Amino acid sequence: MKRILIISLRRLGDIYSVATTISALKADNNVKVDLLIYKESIPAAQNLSAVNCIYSIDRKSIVTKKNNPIFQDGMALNEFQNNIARLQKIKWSKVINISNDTVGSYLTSLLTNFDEQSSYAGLKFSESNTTTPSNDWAVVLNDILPCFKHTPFHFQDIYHKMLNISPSTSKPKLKINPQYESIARSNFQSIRQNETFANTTLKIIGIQLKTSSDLKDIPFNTITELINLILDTPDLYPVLLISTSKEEKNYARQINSYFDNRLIAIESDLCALNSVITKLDLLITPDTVTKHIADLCKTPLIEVSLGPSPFLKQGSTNDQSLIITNSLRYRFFKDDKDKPQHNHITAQDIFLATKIIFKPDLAKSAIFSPNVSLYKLKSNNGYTCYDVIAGDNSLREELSRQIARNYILTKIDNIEFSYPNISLSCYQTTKKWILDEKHAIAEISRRLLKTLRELIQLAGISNQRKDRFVAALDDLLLGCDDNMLSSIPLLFFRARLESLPKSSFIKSSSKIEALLYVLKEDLQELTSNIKTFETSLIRNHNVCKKAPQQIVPRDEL
Amino acid sequence: MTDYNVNSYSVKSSKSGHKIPVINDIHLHSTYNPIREAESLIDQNSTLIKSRPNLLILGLGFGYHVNLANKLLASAQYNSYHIMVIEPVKRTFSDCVTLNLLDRKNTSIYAGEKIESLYANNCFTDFLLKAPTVFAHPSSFNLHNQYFKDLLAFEASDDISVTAQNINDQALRNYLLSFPNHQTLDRTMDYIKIEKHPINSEYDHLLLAFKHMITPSTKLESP
Repeated sequence: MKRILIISLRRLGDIYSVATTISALKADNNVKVDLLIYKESIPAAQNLSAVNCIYSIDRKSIVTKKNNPIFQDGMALNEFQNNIARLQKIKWSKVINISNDTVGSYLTSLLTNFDEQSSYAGLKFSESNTTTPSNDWAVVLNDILPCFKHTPFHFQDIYHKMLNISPSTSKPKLKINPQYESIARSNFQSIRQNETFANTTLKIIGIQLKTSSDLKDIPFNTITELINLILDTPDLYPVLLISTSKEEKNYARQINSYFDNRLIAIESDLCALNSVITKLDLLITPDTVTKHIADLCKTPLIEVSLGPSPFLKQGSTNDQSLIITNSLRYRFFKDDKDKPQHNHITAQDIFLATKIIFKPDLAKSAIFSPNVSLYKLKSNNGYTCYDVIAGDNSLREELSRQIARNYILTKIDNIEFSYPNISLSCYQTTKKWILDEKHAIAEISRRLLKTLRELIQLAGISNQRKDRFVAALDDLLLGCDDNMLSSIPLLFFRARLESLPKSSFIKSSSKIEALLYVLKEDLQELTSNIKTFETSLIRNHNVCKKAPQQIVPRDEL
Repeated sequence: MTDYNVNSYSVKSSKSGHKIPVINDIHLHSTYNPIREAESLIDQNSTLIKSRPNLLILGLGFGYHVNLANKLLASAQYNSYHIMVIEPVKRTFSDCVTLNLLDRKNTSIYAGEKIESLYANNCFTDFLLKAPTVFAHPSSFNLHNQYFKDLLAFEASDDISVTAQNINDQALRNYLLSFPNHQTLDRTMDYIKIEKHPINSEYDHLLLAFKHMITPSTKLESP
């Protein structure tokens, strides 16, 4: 029996989103999949039926013991070692690191560097203390997805690519607690009996109130207005979903006081939440763990996507669900501290999305607030993609996402992906986008050549020459943050650079030179991708005046 | 007498007939009615005591206040609660037990322990991790003022040899002590990260994973 360990030292949502990968791994009956997580994630992991064994690190206790001066450092280290010792006793066939952090990478090297039988996927550290990705998809997961704002791939697709496995045909299952299931069934039956008016089929809509970050929460006024709209619709009925925390209970109380305490608030921990969610007709939720549970329960949802998280990286994987967001050009990210953070999504918009869930045809005529977009899952050649089905379309950002996806697939797997069809009305904007991207590539190429020149002239190795080379390299790497397509080959280059073993400058310089030439080839390949797209765009423009309208920005209509 | 700061020790009876310890000529409870005194003390501090399910009491005396705090927490509807009492004088505790004065339900008592020993005890440190309410028995606290001040202001040694003593695994202990010029765990881990080449021991990877987990910038993510 093969033992596979998945290291996921991330948030609760990530524990649920790895369920699909576990199912795919378990397609091989000879495999047992274990999980290593932080202790606070245990309730989530216990919900996954396919997990063989859960190992945990009590991070909170260890961090407190190390950082509080009353505790001796040895207590923290001893506890950490005790947590890890159990893992070291097992012969792992493979360790899969999806943590995207330094701790997970060192633990992966700890568990695989000293056992020749054990392989790994993701990142780990080599003997020279540099990061070593298992393949290029591991670089996409660890270096590109966190930096490139217009996420070209869904997390789950990356996991499967990195592991070279096919998505499982059988959907992952959550454990059901019979007691919670019975309570939830009886409570929902009561709601349906008490709140149904004649000849209507009541649809119960759960509203998730809180996330771990205020920036991601649906604003209070939007929630109360939305509830009013739902209450005014005879066949819809809202229930509030809260966790067992005091803060959430108080928040629900505050909302309920607006409605004379008429609303039902359902309080549940993670063990009971799936029993609740399966009874809902629809879930309205910000980006939080509840979304991932709903996906596994196949309950349709409307994700109100706010906050600085990269958009669509972990979007809903249910093809009935919808994602509502501020237009991509108005979204902000962790490093956009100075960008104004306006929320354009109103309660009317969320309510309109609700109506579209129950009557999808409404999407064609739906009018959303300015600068609000509605996305829907669209599987494309087996990849999880999303299309704008109503509202504002940020053409440049969507082009960036789609061409980035094409480029990465061509580069790593040599797979050709169809280019987006652009409507005639978007032709000029698309041309301008292509021009900007070409300019960005030209600029990066210029910096690349300068870096190469400085490197070649290093023969004398004077300190001044070294400094000039380092400055040119720094200048080149600044392009990683440009968020243009040219950032992608640069991010690959930076990852390879960081993987170089520590050695003398002379030895390193020849390796860096080789990497610079690889970058040059990558930039040429990207240029070629963009040119192919441009050619198809021009051909379509010239030949077919009525090209299918897939990407139509509101401002060009 | 070998007990901490004890020159004289005796047990007397209050006017109400309850036993009271007298240490260094100081009566640790009321000479009239220790029960009523304890009731008043607990009543005045009931909000504080009930605020959390874990309570650290500094000073046992003959436990009248401990018993009442116990009753109060039992009524506070916590799923479970725990009281820990720190008493510098061992004999106070042994007499308290002999005289059958103490309700020990959900209560742990450490008596006559050196402060360093207390902090080396996992039960004590695990209890502190639960962020208990701290409540001082005034007479005991005043009598053993320095002991309790030292207890509250304690800072553990960061000497690598002390760190090694807290490690159960003999091989890791030896590994830590094999870096003689790096007197603390932090310095040892910095050395491994920056200077050691190659990092070819399992302990290198373990220590670097640990180092990155405990870095103050590590944000604990709430669910």
